[in-house]
Amino acid sequence: MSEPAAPKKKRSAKTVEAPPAKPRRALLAPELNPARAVEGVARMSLKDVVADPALRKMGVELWRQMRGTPEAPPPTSVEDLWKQLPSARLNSSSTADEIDRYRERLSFRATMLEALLEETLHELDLLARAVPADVPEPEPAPEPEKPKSRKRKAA
Amino acid sequence: MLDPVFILAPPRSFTSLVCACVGQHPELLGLPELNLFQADKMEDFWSGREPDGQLRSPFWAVMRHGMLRTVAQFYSGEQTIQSVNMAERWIKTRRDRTSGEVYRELAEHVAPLRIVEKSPGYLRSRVNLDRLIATFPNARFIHLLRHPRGQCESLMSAKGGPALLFMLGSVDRSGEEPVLDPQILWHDANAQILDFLEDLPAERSIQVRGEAFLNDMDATLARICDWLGIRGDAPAIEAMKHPEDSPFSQVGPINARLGNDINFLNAPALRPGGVTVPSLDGPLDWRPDGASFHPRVAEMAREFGYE
Repeated sequence: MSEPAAPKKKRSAKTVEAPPAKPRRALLAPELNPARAVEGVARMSLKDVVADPALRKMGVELWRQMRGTPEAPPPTSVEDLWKQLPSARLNSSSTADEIDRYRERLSFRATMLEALLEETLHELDLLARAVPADVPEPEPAPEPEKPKSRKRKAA
Repeated sequence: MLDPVFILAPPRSFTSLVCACVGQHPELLGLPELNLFQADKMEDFWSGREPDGQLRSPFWAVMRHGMLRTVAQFYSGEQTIQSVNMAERWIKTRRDRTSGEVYRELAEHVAPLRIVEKSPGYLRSRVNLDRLIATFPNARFIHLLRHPRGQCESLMSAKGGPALLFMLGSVDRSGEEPVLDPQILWHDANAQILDFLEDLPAERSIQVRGEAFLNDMDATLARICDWLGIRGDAPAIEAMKHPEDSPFSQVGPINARLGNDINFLNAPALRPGGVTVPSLDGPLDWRPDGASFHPRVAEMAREFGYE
């Protein structure tokens, strides 16, 4: 429940003014970089970057530096299977090139794993038919005796 | 439910480590970067577009990872490809809600634990901070400081750091050739934090120097506990010294890998050894003209206790 409204006081000739808003600290960016948005710690205005050749050049160089992670050589050996995959290092959204390289590595891993699986199953198959060398061969089972022919007693 | 604790600082100010450490207190819960208050509606949060249709950041898809991991962990108890898919649906079914409503839902879900969060993106605009305080009028704030030379050098050498500086307009265009100068971001981010915190009662915020945090951890953590009114006994302090125990202190599943600085996620444990505090005097390595700190940067740094 809201409290009942207090009776209005008559205003005296001297009205009490609201305290002036606190002055904000002057920021450095608008002073040193007029192209930047003034409000808060905002961002560079793309329009102004495009319009300023020096800023544009700087922006492109920085973007290339950031994107220019050295390309990993294509995988060629079994050791490459367990190397860190590109996605483990990505800390931003991926470019088409990064996705292609990642696909290439995964595809290589899949091919190698398929081959390894085939070889392993083949080995298991051979193993099932292997005869151990350190275990004596079982004695051959004795041949069943031939039933003795019964001579008929002479009548 | 207690309103969260937010860490405010420019990027590369030890925010990941401090947030994870403080969030390991038995009464608190450290989260990855949610970035929720960068949007008004959840629909805008998911799309990454401003109301005028402009993309908020070219990396917005990655900036949602923290929220996806949080929802997956809260409602599935794990962070897997499947639970992140569930989190995506969870967010999309709330597309008509405000980011503040959804943040409150998360805070109520984990109560009585109190959320600790840092999203440097909140400093991109005062609107984000106003949105935050409208949602959580009793929130508390740790203003995390770092010496400008250390913070600037760290940002310049970080992968993607120079590009981030450029996008945020930390460029000195007063000479003939533009110069990437991180001290602009250091100054303006801290100025914005100071302006914001001055509008709040003094007890709602605390300043912590990152170097002091790392060099005298027990005392600094005890000071933070005291300020928050939470227990500061030895087991609680010990728990806070193990940021690696958080379920968010590791790389997430392939569909939400980040939510925090990748360097922290790869090595979240505290490393022994102190941090040296550099000097305000002398030329700056990143300035080809051999310039030193801008007078206003040096003045602000001295206000923070740096020399």
